[in-house]
Amino acid sequence: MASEGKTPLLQVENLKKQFHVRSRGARDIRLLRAVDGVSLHLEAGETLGIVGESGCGKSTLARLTVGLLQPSEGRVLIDGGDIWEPGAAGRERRRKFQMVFQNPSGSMNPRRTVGASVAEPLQAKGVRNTAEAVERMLTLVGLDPALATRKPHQLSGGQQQRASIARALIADPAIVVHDESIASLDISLQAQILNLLLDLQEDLGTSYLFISHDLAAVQAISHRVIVMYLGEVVEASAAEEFSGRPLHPYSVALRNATLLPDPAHERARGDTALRGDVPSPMNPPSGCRFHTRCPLATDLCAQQKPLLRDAGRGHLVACHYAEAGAGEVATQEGAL
Amino acid sequence: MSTAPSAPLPKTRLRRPYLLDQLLRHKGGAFGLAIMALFILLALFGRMVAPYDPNANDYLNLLSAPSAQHWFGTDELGRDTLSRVIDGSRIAVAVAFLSVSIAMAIGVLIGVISGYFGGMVDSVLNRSQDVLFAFPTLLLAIILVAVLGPGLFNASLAIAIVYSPRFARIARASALSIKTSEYLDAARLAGVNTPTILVRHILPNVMPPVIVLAALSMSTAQLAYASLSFLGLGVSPPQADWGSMLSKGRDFITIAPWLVIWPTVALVMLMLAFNVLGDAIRDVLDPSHSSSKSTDTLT
Amino acid sequence: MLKMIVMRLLGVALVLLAVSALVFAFGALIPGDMTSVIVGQEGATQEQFEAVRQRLGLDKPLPVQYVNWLANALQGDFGTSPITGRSVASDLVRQFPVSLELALLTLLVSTAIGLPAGIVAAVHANRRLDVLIRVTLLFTFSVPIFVIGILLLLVGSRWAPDLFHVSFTPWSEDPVMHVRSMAMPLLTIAFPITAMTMQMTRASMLEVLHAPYVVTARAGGVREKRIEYLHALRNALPPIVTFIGFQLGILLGGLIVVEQIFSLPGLGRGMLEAINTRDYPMVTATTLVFATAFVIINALVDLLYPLLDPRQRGR
Repeated sequence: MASEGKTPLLQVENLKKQFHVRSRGARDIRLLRAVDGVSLHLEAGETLGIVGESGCGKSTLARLTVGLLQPSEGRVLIDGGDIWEPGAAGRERRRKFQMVFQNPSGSMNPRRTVGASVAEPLQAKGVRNTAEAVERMLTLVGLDPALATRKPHQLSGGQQQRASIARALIADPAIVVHDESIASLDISLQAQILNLLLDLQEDLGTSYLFISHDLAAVQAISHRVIVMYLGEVVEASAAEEFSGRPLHPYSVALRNATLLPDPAHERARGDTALRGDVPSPMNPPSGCRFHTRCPLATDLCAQQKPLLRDAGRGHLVACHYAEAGAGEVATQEGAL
Repeated sequence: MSTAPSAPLPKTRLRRPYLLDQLLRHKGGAFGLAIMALFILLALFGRMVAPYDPNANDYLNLLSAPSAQHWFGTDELGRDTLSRVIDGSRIAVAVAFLSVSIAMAIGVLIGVISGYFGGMVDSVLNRSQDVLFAFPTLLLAIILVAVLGPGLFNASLAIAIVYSPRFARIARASALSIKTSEYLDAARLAGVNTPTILVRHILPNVMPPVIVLAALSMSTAQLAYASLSFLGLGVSPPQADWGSMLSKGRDFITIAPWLVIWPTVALVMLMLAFNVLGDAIRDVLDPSHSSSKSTDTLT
Repeated sequence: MLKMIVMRLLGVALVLLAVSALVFAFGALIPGDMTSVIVGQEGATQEQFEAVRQRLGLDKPLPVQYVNWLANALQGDFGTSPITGRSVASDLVRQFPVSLELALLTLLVSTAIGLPAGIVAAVHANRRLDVLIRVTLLFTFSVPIFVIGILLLLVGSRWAPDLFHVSFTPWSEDPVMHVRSMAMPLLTIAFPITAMTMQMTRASMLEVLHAPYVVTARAGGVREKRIEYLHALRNALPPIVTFIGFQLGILLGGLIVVEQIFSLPGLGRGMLEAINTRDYPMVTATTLVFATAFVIINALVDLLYPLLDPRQRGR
């Protein structure tokens, strides 16, 4: 999905990652398709939210995008250049990414000071004197620069995550990938960090890839939203359009699962909650991968895989009954 | 000398200056440290304190019982037992530190490489260690000394090879868990190169359990060497050495029991000190013994 | 189940092959040369040297020598000792029963004493009896086997000269003397092994005694004795049995030391003597026997494990 002529900052093309898994006792090696043909793009200064349940391949996608994992198939392009191009060119491109991880206490070396951890990306670039930059960065993320001399375990969870953000931003990356970066914080802290991220983006113009299972958080921070299910993109749209009109039954279910302080929403939650677990990505369902849990599924869904198609206003969805579905679910809810 | 996890320890932080402090506060730690210090001092300055040259023969006093002249008696060549026990502490202390240091170096190197890089390297290293584990430890040490030849360093090396797989296993396990930690991903993303990652991130986090194992291994290594020496595979005579003194003293056990009593006392005291100190260091360093706040970050 | 056993045996065979190669390599690496042992260090001509080398097959490349050595060893032929002039196999046949007897007796004694003592210690955990037992243990662990042997010799020379002044006598010659000659060595080596068995039994029992199903049994009114000896012991047994594998290494090492202290003509003493006299065929043969016994018994313990622990059977 190339946009109008100009090369986007980040392009991910038909990315696939398979893992070979040997289950206990079994002789054969089976293929786990963690990410199965994902394409996306991200413009400078933009935030793209990726939402899905745990086990849908979000984290693998994040690691593939930043170059911590090599894809089995497909490419990741930054300014049109492949990040896995051999030699210095590829290495230089991989350095344009930074990442903020889920577990704030585990994302910094417990034996080094916070300052040393924050300075690491700059040092790796060959910068000698990092003290000033660390101080400035810590101030920018709302931390007392004196915390630089502490060890990570002496900080609170929120402080640790702010420090992680400081580390991610210190070497001026083009893109910061957030992999569930606020999931382990409590609600009030989540809001603070989201606001911090928005402010920082305004100041620094960094692009975010914001990956989360929390639809509300994704909608709050993203310009555009992608919904993933079992390694595939099932819906992609501008954030506002998406929040007003989620098309895929899975998106609808996800949205109904979120808690919103709205009586109408609460009443409508009804029985559209997702039933059962995500099927094993080692043995994905035939046809549409969501048909085993979909309230609208027909025989067609089990047989024919729906492709991503434009449902108007640049809103992409992979469902045979998307438009009808959205309405139908709504009326069912109304009847209850 | 409590081996049981007694009352919860005060919150400990892993900084070198605190280690000594914590050990001194530990009931067993202070005791073990004191005896250890005594033996180390004897090993370093024993020759100055000893009443006689450990190898000087007093032909007028062969196999003489303990007296004012020879506090611990003399052996069949008229050598002063006290001086020889003191001189033997040099060997005992040196072997314990040397062999554990070498074992630690070999084990950590192999374990970190095998854990961090995985794959073929890991399989090959694991299989070869399995073969080493197929030998009873003392047997392996004996045959290694036979191959390497006698002497202080060779005996230490043999003991180190025998015990290195333990260090490798523990280092490998830590390296494996650190390898997948988020801070390592962060370092890789920052563009830190592999050697720096190994030295800066893997090694410091691998060391705490390794140091605990090293502390606990000191007495085992000491015992292994004493056994080798007793079997005639230690340092060459006439160097005084507790194990060989015992072996020789056995021949005169009915007429000169002091020849076996004093080396035994020294040996047991040093081993006890190592054991107690090892337990104390484990209590102080082992994250599972410290408070919950530091537990999650130390592992 | 059968497939698992076959796979295990195959694995054991591979380990044994690797062990034999290592033992052979050790033999080849020991400084010196068998030819010079036979011919004598000085005065031999180059021709004599070569003749001996050829007769022993030492002129061939090492891998060929290894294959020949292994093939012969598998048929029970370990060559002839250049020192004693006897066949190595005949010496092994003489020495093996002595070591085996000592090892089996040790296991018997240590289990017969250590297991019940461990249970008692666990049931009386942290009371006076238990503390007493544990202090004794700490002491035993801090003392090498040969120190125990020496202490026993000291005590024996004074209080039990009947046991002390006995040199090894085979069973066939004089059973009473044989028992007397084995008493001290057995006591020496059984001491630490018994302590270990007891320690392990105590730990294992303690763990099981606090397990939910034991608490349930107790709440359900099952008699205490029945709980301790039936429910708990049954479940505490598997780890204790596995521990035998670990004990074995110490036991075999202990054999070498004890045989040396008490001049028992067993494998361990044979091995040390061979090392001191540079009797190469004997060194490799004894080492191989020790390592093989170690590997095989460990494998047996592994196979025994599922029989004791039903949870392991499905795997």
